[in-house]
Amino acid sequence: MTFKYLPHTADKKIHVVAKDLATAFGEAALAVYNIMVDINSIKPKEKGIFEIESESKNSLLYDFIDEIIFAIDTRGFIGCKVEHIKIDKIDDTYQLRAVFVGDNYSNYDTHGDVKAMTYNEMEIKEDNEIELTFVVDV
Amino acid sequence: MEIKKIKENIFEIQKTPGMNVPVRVYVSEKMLDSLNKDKCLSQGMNATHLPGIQKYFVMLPDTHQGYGFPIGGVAAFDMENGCISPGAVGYDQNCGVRLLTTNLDKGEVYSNIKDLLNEIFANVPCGVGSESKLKLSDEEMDNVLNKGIKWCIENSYATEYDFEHCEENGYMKTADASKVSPKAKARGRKQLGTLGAGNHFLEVQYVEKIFDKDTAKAFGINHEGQVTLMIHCGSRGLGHQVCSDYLRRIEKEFPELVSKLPEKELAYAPSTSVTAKDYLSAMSSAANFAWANRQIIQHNCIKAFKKIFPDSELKLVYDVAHNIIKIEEHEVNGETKKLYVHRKGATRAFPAGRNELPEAYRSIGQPVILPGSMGTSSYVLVGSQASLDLTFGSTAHGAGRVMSRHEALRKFKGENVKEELAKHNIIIKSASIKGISEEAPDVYKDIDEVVKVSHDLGIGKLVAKVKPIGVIKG
Repeated sequence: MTFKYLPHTADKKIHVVAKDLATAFGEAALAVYNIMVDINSIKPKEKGIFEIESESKNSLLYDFIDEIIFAIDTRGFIGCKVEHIKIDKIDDTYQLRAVFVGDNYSNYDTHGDVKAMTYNEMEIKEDNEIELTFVVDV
Repeated sequence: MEIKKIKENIFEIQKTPGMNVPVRVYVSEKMLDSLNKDKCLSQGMNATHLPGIQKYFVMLPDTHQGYGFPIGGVAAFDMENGCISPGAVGYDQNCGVRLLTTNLDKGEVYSNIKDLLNEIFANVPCGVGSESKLKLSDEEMDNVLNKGIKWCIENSYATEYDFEHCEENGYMKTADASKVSPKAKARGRKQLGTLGAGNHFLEVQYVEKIFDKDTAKAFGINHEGQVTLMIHCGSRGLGHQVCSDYLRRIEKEFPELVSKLPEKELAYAPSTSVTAKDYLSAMSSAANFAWANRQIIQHNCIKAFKKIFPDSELKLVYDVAHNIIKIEEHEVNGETKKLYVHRKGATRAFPAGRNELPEAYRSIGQPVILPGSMGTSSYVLVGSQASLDLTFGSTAHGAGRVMSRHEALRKFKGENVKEELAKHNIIIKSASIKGISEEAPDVYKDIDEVVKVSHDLGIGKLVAKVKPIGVIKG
């Protein structure tokens, strides 16, 4: 795991370090799943496929996590592993395609809820490594 | 940042470049220190950058860090040259609280509290992923969003009495379900009538102390020891999705406005834009969903009460919204103006005489219900004149979080908190033991101090104090 949770008064602040942007986004989603269920305990029974298009990297992160939460809330899908993730820049848009494996969270003990993605304290740093910071409403 | 004391319990942060108005902070000297521990003061200053903001940005006694606006924040904007900001309402639109009185006494409820909690728990879906027992068609879902409590009356979840004792009569006429995305509706459909998780709760309480006998009586609070029921929750996933949807829409439609803001969460649409109007319709729909949600929970709680106490009668005192935009008239520089009043973690606290109040309370003032943290007392206040002079007719909404969930989990064990509360005769039933540690009473500010400041300022005056007997947490 390359994600960790940082202190935040009312919500959950997530910090990810990874070798490239796509890997970092994949870890970001796993960090969100892990708020609800320990991802190590989740069995890879089904697939969750996400296709997102946004106007900037920050908005791509927002829209991606927003879709992750939507799939949790409506289909119950919770991922434990990234099977495939790719981000392309085509003209002025960023396109993401991700495939997660996981299960329905109703099969597990949940220990938290994730209600919404936010732009609060969001930061995407790109050096030799990628560092993502963002806050989700819990 | 320069913070100046104006008088007792009133501080002001002076205007600096970029700020359109000063920030007013309504706290006691004792509370001022704790405000420097998080970012709430700088968030208050950021909020004054929004266009058309009137008089000053208001920070109430329970203020703490949020995103965009601080929690416990109120701002009023010009309806021509101002703005509307979804982040300034927050993700849980019309998160709110309602209080019911009963004809029961604490003695009889104490001896049956476990049975009562079990029965409520069986009737009201609680916790992460709790699913509604209702299966609504698309058309019915739109009716809930457009009509709020009126839909509940049509479907026998509410009575005319409930309608008359609820802020906005439990439905905002500005609602338009067509402005709510299919995504938001899909999230809400499975959640109508559910409590959810986090800081939301149901509490069986008793009246511990009455401070203002006449007002209490008008609210249906007759004697100390009388049992009450409190319901605290909001618009669930539907409201969260509405906020996200409109935040993104504004970002795409007004990129140049958003880029000038100190924080993206403050993204706004100009008052007269189509986007502002659409957001207002969507937010009103989410608010109606939240009122229907609390109403259905009330309906199911009453069923549980009837099963354990067949002669019990429960009556709604009032239902207040904590996160919402309202069109209200206020006096600015000696002139009465219609404004977009944004309240985030704040309660309307109108004095007697305001047309917005239900007839039953028009000569008394609005009931203000202030939930404490789990296991501590809650308060009933009444709105009074000073709120119009100082806070655009508002007061605090609760205790105000001071410790992170993360730190709370490290510091408190759910089982220990449960035992500690049991020693004080408070029984807890929760969908998650972790939820108990995260919401341990010590993670919140002292509600007694919050209420004292409200009372001393005269923005919301003390009526009664209620204490929990049994708590249900999501």
